[in-house]
Amino acid sequence: MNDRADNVLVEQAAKGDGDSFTELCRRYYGPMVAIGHAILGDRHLAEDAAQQAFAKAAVHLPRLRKPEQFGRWVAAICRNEARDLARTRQEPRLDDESPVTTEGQTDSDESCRIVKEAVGRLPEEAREVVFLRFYDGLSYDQISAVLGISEQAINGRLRRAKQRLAQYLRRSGFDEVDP
Amino acid sequence: MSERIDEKWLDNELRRVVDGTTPVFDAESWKQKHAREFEALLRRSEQPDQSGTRRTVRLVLRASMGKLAVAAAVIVAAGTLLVGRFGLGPGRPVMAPQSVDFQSPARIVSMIAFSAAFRRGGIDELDRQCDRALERLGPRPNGVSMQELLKDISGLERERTSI
Repeated sequence: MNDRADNVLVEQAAKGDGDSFTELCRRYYGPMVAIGHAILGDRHLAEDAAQQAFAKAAVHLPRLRKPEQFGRWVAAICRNEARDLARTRQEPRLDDESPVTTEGQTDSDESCRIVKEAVGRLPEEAREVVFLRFYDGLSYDQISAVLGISEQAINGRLRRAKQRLAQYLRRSGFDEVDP
Repeated sequence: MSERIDEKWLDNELRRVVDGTTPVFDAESWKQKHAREFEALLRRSEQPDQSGTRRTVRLVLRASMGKLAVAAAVIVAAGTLLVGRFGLGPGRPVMAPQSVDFQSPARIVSMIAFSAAFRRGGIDELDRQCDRALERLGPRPNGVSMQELLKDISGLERERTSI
C-alpha cells in the first residue's frame, strides 16, 4: 500500500503537490468513511464528512507538525466534521430506537436489526474500532495509523466492544453469545 | 428470538451491519466540489520554500541541547542589554547632574555621595566632590572632636557610650 511513506507525501503536498495530496486521500478515504459512519450511522453522510475533512486538511496541511501522523490528524478532523453534521442534520443515528419488525421480515433481518441496535449503543470509541475493523477488513496497520494506538490496544478495544455487544444480544433473546 | 451464536456469527453480522463495501475516493469529483481548498493547496507551490528554515528551527528547538543554547543566548542578550543600560563605571552614559546641595555634612561625605559622584563623572567628579566637601565643611577645627564629627556622619541620635 505504502509505495511512498506518508510523511514524504505530506511534505510534498504541503509544498503544493496536488498529486501527493490526492494519493493521501485515496489511502485514508476508507478509514475516514468508517469513522464518519460510526458517528453518523449513514454511509452517504459519512462520505460527505470524509470529503469535508480532506478539504480542511488541504487548507491546514502546513500546520501539521508531525507529517508521519497525518492519518491520526485527518481522523480527528473527520470526527469533528461528522459530529458537526450530526448536530446540524439531526438525522437518525445508529443508536436511535426506531426500527420495528415488519410483516415478512426474516430472522436474519431481525438479528441484523438487533445487532445494529447493539452497535449503536456502544460508546463512540468502541463503535469506531468496530467500524474500522469490519469496514472492508481494514488491516491493523491502517487502523493503527488513524487511531494512533498499538495493535495490542486495538485488539483489546475490539474485544471489549464485542463483549458489550454479546451482553446486549443475550438480553435481547440470543441464547448464547461467546465472543 | 432464540438462537445459538458464536464469535464467527457475530463477525459476519457486524460486517453486514457496517455495510463495509470499499469506499472509493473519486479525486476529480472531490477537486470540483472543493475547488477553493484544492486551489489553496496548489498555490503553495508558487510560494518561496521556507520549509528548510522552519524545519531547522523546529529541530533546534526540539533538541534539549538546542533549547539550552537558545535559553543561554537569550540570557546573554538580556544581560548585555541590562549592563549597557545600567552598567557601572565612568564609561556609561552620563546622567543629568544632580544637585550637590546636600542637606548635611554627613551626606556630603557619605559613600553614597562619593559613589554617585564617581558614576557621574569618574575620578574627576570624585575629586570635585571632595573639594566641595572640604569647601563646605572646611578643615576640622581643633575644638570639634572626631566623636562629634562621626555623630553627624552616622546620622544617629543615640547616646554614645565610648569614642
